[in-house]
Parts: sequence; C-alpha cells; structure tokens
Amino acid sequence: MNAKGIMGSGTLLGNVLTRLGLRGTKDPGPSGAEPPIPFGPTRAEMAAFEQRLSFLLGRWTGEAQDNIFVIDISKCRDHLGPRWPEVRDKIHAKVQGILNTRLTRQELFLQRDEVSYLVVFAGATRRNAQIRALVVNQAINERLYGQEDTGEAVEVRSIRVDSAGNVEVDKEPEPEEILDYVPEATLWSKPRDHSRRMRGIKRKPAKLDDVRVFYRPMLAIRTRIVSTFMCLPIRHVREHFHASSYDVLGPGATKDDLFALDSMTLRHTGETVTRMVRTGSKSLVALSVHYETLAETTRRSEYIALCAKVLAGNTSRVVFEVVGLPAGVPEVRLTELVTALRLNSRAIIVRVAPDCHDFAAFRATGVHAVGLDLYESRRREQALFPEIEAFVQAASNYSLKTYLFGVRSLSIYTAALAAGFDYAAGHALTTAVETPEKAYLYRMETPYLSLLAAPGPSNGSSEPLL
Amino acid sequence: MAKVLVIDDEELARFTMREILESAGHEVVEAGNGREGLELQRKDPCDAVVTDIIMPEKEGIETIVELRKDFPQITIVAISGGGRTRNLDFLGLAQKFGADRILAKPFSDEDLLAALTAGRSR
Repeated sequence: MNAKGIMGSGTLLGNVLTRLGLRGTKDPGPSGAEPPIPFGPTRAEMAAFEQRLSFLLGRWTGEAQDNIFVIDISKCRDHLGPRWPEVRDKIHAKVQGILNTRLTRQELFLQRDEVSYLVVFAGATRRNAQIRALVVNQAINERLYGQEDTGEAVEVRSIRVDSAGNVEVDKEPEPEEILDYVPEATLWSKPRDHSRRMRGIKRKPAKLDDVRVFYRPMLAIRTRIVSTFMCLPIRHVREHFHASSYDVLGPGATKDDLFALDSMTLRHTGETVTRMVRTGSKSLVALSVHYETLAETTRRSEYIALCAKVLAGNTSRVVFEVVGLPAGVPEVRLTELVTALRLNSRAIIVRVAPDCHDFAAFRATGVHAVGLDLYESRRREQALFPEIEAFVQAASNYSLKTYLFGVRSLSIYTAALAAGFDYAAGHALTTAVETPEKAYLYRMETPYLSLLAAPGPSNGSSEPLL
Repeated sequence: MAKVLVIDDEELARFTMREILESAGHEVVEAGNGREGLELQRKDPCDAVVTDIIMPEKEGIETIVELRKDFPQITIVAISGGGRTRNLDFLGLAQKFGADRILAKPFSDEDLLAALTAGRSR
C-alpha cells in the first residue's frame, strides 16, 4: 500500500489512529462516544495532527505506513515510581523540547498518552526513518538519563499497517542492526562523540572515490572581500545532502583513512593552486588537515614531504586549517604541528568547537586565526548566539583573528557580523565552486537578494547545501 | 490606534516597547524572533511591526523581506543596536529591504512613537 492508500479515503488513516488508541480525547467533548485518553491529545491537537499528517503524506510517494514510530517512556515512569506524578510534566517538557528541535518540517509528533509519543518521519525511506528514530531516541535518553545508551530505558517501536488497515506495533531492531544496513554515515558529525556513538559497531568508511572536492568562498567581513577559498571535500549522500568535515568518510574512518583523505585534498589543492598561478589569480586556498594526520611522527613527516612536493613554489597561496584538535592539546605538540605546516604555507588557522579554551596556546604557537565550527552543531540558534559572541571575545583577548565556519542561516550571518568575526563561510553566504575564482567584492546585502526573487519563505534548512 | 507586533529576542526590550506602545493606546503582540513573528502575523495580522535585526531563528532583514512580500501595506519599523562592532549598517540594509522607519538603540519613547506614526502616515 502506498501513501495514497492511507490518504485515499481518509478512513484508513482514521483506522490507523483508532487502532493506535488515538481516536479518543481528553476533552469532555459533546459526542461522548469516544473514551477520553488520560494525557492524550485534545480534539484540537488531534485534528491538527491529522491535518498535518494528511498534508505530508499527500505530498509524498514513499511507503508512509513504515515510517510511523512510537517512542515509549513507560520505563522511565516505572523507574521513578511514586515520584513520577511530580516530575511527569518536566519530563514531557524535555521530551517535547527534543522532538521540537530534532524533527524537520517533514516530520511530526503527537503525545499519544501519558508515556508515549507517536512520531512520523514522512519524507524519509524506511531505513532513514529508522535511523532518525534511533537518533531521536538517543537524544531523549541523553537528556533524561545523561547518556545515549541506556539499554532500553526509552523504547522505540515501529507501527506496521497492512493493506486492510490492521496495525501491528513491533519493537525496533537494535541500533547495530539498523546501522549495519546503512552503507553510508549520514547523521553523525561530532568528532568528539565519534567513538562513543559507534561503540561496538564496526563500519566501513566511505571510499575516497566517492569524495569530490569543492571550494567554499570565505568572506573577509571588514573589507567585504572574498579572496580565500576553503577546500571542501564532500561526499554526496542523497539529494541536497552532502557529508563534509568528519562525515566525509563516516564513522568507520581510521587514522589511515583520514591521512588518505588529507593527502588527496592536498594533491587537489596543489594542482588547483598551480592552475591559479598560471591564470594570474591572486586568491588563497585554505585546506583542512586532520589532527590525526599530524599527531603521529611518521604520518606527519609523510604529509609534510607531500606538501613540499605538491606546493613547491606556491606555498604563499596556501593556508592550512587544522581540524579535530583535542581540547587542551599541549603547547609543545601544537608548536610541532604549526611549525611543520608553517614552512609550507602562508598561515595556519585552527577550527575548534564552541567550548574551546586553548586560545593562549594558539596565540603562543603563531596560529593566525581560530574558527568556530558551526557545521558540527545542530543546536538551536538561540543557544548558539551567546557562544558566537563569547567566542569572539575570548579569541580577541589573545589578538587572534576569528572565523565562523558553517554559516547556515542569515540569522547566523548577522550574528557573526555583529559579534565581530573577521571571516565567515557557509552555504547561507556563498555557493561552493569547483575552482577558486579571482578575488571579488561581496556586498553585505548579497545573501538577501535571493530572498527578493524567491517564490516563498526560505526553508530554514540546516543541510550543507552546495 | 494600531495593533503592533513587536519582534525582539530580548524579553526586556519587548517589555519596554510594550509599555511605551500601550501607554500610547496601541495594542501590542510580542514575538521572540522573526519566525515566530511571521507566524503570528499570518495568523492574526497587525497594522504595524517593530522588529529587531539581530535575532536567532530568523533575523530582522529576512523578516522584513517576507513581511513586505506578504503584507505590502504594513508599517515596518526596524531597530538595532548594531552589534559589538557597531560599524555595520544593519539599519541601512533594513531600510533598503523594506523598513519604513529605522531606529538605532537606545531610543526614547518619543522616538519609537514618532517612527511608528511617521511609518503609518507613509
């Protein structure tokens, strides 16, 4: 049965909801025929849910019935015992907060009863929906219990609907089973969480053959000039979604894989810079190198030797961006890395997480600029804004230049401007290009011009669009 | 008297503007960011909007562009403190993209009411 089957008459959708116990309400409505569900949806909530669900399923041709999940927190209630009534509202507020922030516009939820939620991932394939459900489940576990993996504290069940509209509720497979089916890592981006998320799960990294290299123009805010292009290895995952940063190779990547990726981007940059010099372009290219590539002496030596070979004569056009630095890396180690790279480049910049406190070491070792990585962050802008401002203030105490990486919305653009960042880059500002262009002037209003032509409001997507 | 939508992520700023506008007889509706403001405006339109520029979720200029598209007759007053660097012309940009009047923070009660009146008589 397809989505139209559910949609077709409306009765099948109604049947599903009835069988899920969602046809009653807690309102003492006039019909009286439907028994009230304690803590279940009101009539208005139910109507809004049905309307939105019908709209989403009507726009989608996938197998919608496979993408309905129940998130069950009954074990949380059981753990709390007599304290449950006191804290119930707070717990629901937390769960709803996560659902509100994690779900996209193609997804929706409804509190089903006192201990469960119905969640629909309308725009996803079955596998992606399972992963989305898993990620949401992890987030709820983390919020309620302080860790993602808490056995079965919060359960996810999938709803199966057969062609007659009969409904079965199945327990979801273990995360390992779900992930084993998925060939690509699409949803993990935080290198710090890397090992924890993938505990006990062996995965193969993506192949380098699947990686393409683009260049993201970087805006110098004070002068409003784009003269630096950030080398951006990207792997196509699905339409409008490209993995970059640590996601390029996925969570199964080893240090050797990262070294291979860094070497590939270095070679690509070398060829690009040679071409730029030939055509008279004065632009700079910034390319990332993972800490893992530089931390170990043999790999570092190999990488530096490659730098000398492919960048020979053009090092003044190249800026190295070190990514994945662990917090509190010793200054002596940092000095080794920076010194080695500095010989083959114009400057060294370092991209870090918002909670970085190593500015003194960066300053002492001659790092030119420190970048705040928002690509890694999926948090709400409300929470990001204070960090954006604090980051600039902290870095400026050490006279470090600052840049914002992963500007994904115009709100973040204005926040970056207001906070005083020196540079900014991200898909809300510029389109990634296959070859760095000559330096150009970037008007402050440029990112708004597309809004005037757009047929409707922007979708607020946080995906790394090209 | 008008129904005015005040969009600002700072609660205190919203509260202050509400006080000023209500004391002048206006009805006030509040939103904490542009996205919320647009939702409220589409649900129950106001006659005028006072919007900050630097806000999470949807900032002021983007909000102005969308308001101007959907509600061509609405009065829009843009306000901004200019951020930490204070050398970026957010308000000039707001005016370019559709604000009727602009006000730099901090402003007086009279400034706000005058901007609103001038915008409405446009």
